[in-house]
Amino acid sequence: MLRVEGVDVSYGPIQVLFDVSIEVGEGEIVALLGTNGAGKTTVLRAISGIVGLTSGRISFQDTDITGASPRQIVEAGLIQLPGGRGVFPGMSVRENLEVGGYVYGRDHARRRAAIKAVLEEFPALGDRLDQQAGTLSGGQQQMLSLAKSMVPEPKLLLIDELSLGLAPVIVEQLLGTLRRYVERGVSVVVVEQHVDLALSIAQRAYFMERGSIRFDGPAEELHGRDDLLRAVFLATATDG
Amino acid sequence: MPTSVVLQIALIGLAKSGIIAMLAIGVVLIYRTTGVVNLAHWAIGLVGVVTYVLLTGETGVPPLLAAAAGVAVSVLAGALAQRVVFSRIGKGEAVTMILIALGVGAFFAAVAQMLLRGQRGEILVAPFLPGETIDLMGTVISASELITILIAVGSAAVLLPWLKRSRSGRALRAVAQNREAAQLAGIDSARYAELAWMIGSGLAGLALLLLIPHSAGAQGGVLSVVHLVPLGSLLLPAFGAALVGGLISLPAALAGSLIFGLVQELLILAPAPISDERDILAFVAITVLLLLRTERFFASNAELEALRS
Repeated sequence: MLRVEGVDVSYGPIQVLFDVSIEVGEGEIVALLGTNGAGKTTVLRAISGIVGLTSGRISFQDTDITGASPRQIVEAGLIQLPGGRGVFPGMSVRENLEVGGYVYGRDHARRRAAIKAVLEEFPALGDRLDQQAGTLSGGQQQMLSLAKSMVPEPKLLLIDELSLGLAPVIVEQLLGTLRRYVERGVSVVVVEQHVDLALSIAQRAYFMERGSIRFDGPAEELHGRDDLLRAVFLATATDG
Repeated sequence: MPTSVVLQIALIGLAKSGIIAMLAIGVVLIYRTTGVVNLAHWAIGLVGVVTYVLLTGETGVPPLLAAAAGVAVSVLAGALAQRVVFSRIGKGEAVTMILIALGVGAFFAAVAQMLLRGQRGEILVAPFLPGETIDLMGTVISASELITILIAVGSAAVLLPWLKRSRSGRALRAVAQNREAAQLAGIDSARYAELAWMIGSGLAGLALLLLIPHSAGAQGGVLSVVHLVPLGSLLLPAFGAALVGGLISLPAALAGSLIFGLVQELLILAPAPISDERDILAFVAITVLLLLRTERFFASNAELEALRS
């Protein structure tokens, strides 16, 4: 469904991604792991068209999306939840969802229907439609971010650090909702620093270090790779 | 003090508030959407006035058309400033940003001077609004003041609901509040940033066009060297008004423009020394607003971080 082939990305003169290749099939959950600064977020930004490639190709559902605009990529059904609370804090929950449906253009009926469907999956948000997003708790904001990204009916979700700063109970809730969408055919790429979390839901994993893919294979195999996991555990341990 | 005099002063103050409000709205829109403290705002409005002066003076274009052209030129100048300068500089240190904004302002002021081909002294500017005065129950009201107030109110009455309720207004607010999330929702952030600049700059042009050609009443106005200085005399109250809302809240900026316009004008009626020191009081008010860091009341920490980074 998603094919990233030999992608290089540079920020100015500094190359940050080296020959990155990733594949995601239909209905799959794939984890993208690695230490801080490994380039995981850059990979997501490249896929979403926010950052350009210096070489390589990205295709989605057999269509080449290399160089496509962020809007075209969203319209194709490839949606990203950015790291660090991707909500609009000064807007109400309802307005956030409406912005999520921006690509529906003037088709207000379709947008309304999509929002209604999303609210059925996130009843807690339905109780707070007029509340300002900035006043929601961390977990609720992340829930809103997820809900917002489901409004355009994505076929593939890119999630950057779903669990950051959230209590395990809340993360479980979000994962539960995510799993329901996956059962309906949505594919997911999760970028996570929490290795255990990612491996608990992903079938396959990629491990990145300093801009390159060092490992790719079934999630269980990664469990045995102490050499890689040690780097991540150490990194997260020193982060406190 | 006869009520007619108070009313007259109040109307002058309201007209001033209207002009300050239009400038302040532009400052807030631009800051919120692109994080730029636009000290070039005045100069961008000025090139619109200079366009008007040239068109009415040399080519005899009808004043109203020339005024419309002036607004259009301000819009273009703002779009140019955003596209060529501000969109390319990463958000660095605040001081650097301010220096760059001053530089852009100096550039436009220099362009304005060049266009006037070094005419020294004062340039008479023909008005485009009717010069009639209306007698309302003993109070003499000038038509241009009234029209200025109506245009200012009208601009706010159109802009604020558009921002709040329309899809594109919401998109602009989204870009202002979380640029990356907006992009990831399919919103062309660069285009909306430019739109904010264009609206703000158009309002700046309109504001100065309502002011300068009518500053001497029915006879028109005067464009002098004082206006060509980058930090024009209205920039300070405009920023003062915007600072009431922390450069973030539009409704608060509108309230601020009433303070720096109407209230300041009404202070003429206050006993001395307050009335004499009105301008200093304005300065003091601005300093207090800056020290209060009023933006804290209108945006979350996350939003403020995003504006600075």
